[in-house]
Amino acid sequence: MLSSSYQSETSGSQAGRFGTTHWSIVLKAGQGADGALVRLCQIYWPPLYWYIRRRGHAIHEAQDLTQAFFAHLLENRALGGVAPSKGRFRSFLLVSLKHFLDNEWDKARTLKRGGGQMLISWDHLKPEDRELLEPCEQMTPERIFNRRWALMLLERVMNQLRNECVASRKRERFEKLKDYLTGDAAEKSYQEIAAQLNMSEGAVKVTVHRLRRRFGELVRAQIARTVDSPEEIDDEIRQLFAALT
Amino acid sequence: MTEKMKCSSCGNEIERDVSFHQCPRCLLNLGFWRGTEDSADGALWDAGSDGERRLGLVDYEILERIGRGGMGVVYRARQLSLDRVVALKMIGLGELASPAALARFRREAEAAAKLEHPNIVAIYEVGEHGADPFLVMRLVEGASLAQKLREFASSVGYDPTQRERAPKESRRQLKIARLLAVVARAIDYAHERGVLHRDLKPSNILLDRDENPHVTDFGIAKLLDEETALTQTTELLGTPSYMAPEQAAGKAVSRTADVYSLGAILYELLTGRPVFDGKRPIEILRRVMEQEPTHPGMFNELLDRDLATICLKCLEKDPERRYGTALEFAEDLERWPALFFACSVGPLGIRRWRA
Repeated sequence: MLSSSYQSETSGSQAGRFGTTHWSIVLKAGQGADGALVRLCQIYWPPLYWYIRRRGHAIHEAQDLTQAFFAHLLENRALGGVAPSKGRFRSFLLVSLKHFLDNEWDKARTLKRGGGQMLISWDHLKPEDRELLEPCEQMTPERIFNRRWALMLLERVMNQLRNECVASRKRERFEKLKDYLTGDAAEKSYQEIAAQLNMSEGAVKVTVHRLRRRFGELVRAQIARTVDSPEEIDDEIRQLFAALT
Repeated sequence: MTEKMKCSSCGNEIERDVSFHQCPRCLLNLGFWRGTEDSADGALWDAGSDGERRLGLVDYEILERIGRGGMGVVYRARQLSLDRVVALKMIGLGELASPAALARFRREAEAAAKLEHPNIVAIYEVGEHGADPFLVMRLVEGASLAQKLREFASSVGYDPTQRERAPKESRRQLKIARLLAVVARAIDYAHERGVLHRDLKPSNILLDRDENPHVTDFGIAKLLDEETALTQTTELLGTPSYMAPEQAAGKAVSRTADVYSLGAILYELLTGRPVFDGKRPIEILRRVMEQEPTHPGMFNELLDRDLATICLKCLEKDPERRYGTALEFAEDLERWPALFFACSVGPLGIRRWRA
């Protein structure tokens, strides 16, 4: 067994050595450079938006508040009230948002709701999303936040896997096999799919196996960017799983 | 209203807010799958053995994951066309880097790939797999300096009763000075060819089985450019303990920033502690920018004063007051043993070990 030559440092106690801990981007954004934070806003708005909606705000108000919250983060005002010394990025954003809604949003409203910055394109919001909050009617805002977080993460992983397949000229395989990610009892048999893809049934099974494994890898990689240490990944999956149940 | 679908695997209903129309619970469950049961690591599912390797990492068979750092995952891989084992580093940036930043990274990595030096890990190939850049490098069998810090640690503190350990301590300081001189010469070689490292730290110095140092990850930190704000992002640069003050402040850096980092590594090896520490990266950054380092002699009574002076010269806040080049630093380190062993009695009247 080769001893690793590329481990990150083992000494010291600083957070942030594991993967991409996103809140550190938030922390650093206060020092003037905020391009990465803007990208984070564009990625993470759905759970925040749905949390705000569940707190009783109407669509446009929730949109404005989501924008204002991110503008607030960009302006680094959140850091005074929140101590993101360590912890999951998911919790950091939720705590920051709660703090913002409880204390800051009146001020933000007077600042033209986000200082006029348009960070998020609401075109992404599908018409059906505008009309219903189901299946979240009975859920607490926190539960909705976590559920939307989990769905957003899975959607991103699915897109990432699709992109990888496209880059490897295996788009057709992905489109035909993606339904098999979650089980073997899909509508079509492996034999049918194999004939369509001009592959052997065995090769299809191997490909499905690899797709599942890669999906799992990508899930873990995504989560790794939002937690402090590798040990927390399993626990984060369990928490997100609970939010989906 | 469409009818709710059911998961063909677990039987649960798939709610209408699931845009990808698959059971989110079963998908999330895949995250528990560690995928260690066969040799082809799951990260590159299509680099397998089905005879259809065409694009991307088609030339590489993943053997095992050997490490994970702030910048991504490193695999031991076999390059099929040349039948050699290499280190394959996938840089997991996802969507956080802009196309412009990726292009700059590519230019920088290609410049680093031109470096040919016995103490610099050779880069064989720079490429992209999907959205993520990757590097193929020579595989250095051994461990990083970060993993070996303890072997360099001193048993001497600020305690007069420890003086009988002077000979062993002198040998330790000599070993550290020689190591850093070799690293500094490698860095100078890169500087002369216009390549800054920008993220020198113990984990980027690999020690082979003969303890020869090999510097890796040249210029990768450049990927984190001003536009993405990631230059200053500690999760990618790892600990900011080795970062020059001007770099911590987000200002333009020159070769003297790497000289600072060399001094910070020397400091840690000599004293067993980073120049500046803190619970949070941002605290460390603040100290890097605002505080003067504690004299390394405070932590080690037997630390040679000249060596401490060499170290502190690298750690000057003002880049102009540091060594102008890594070569000057290397030369001082190489001259230092002659000064050190020329006199048998040190400044505190302690009899020194003679070579």
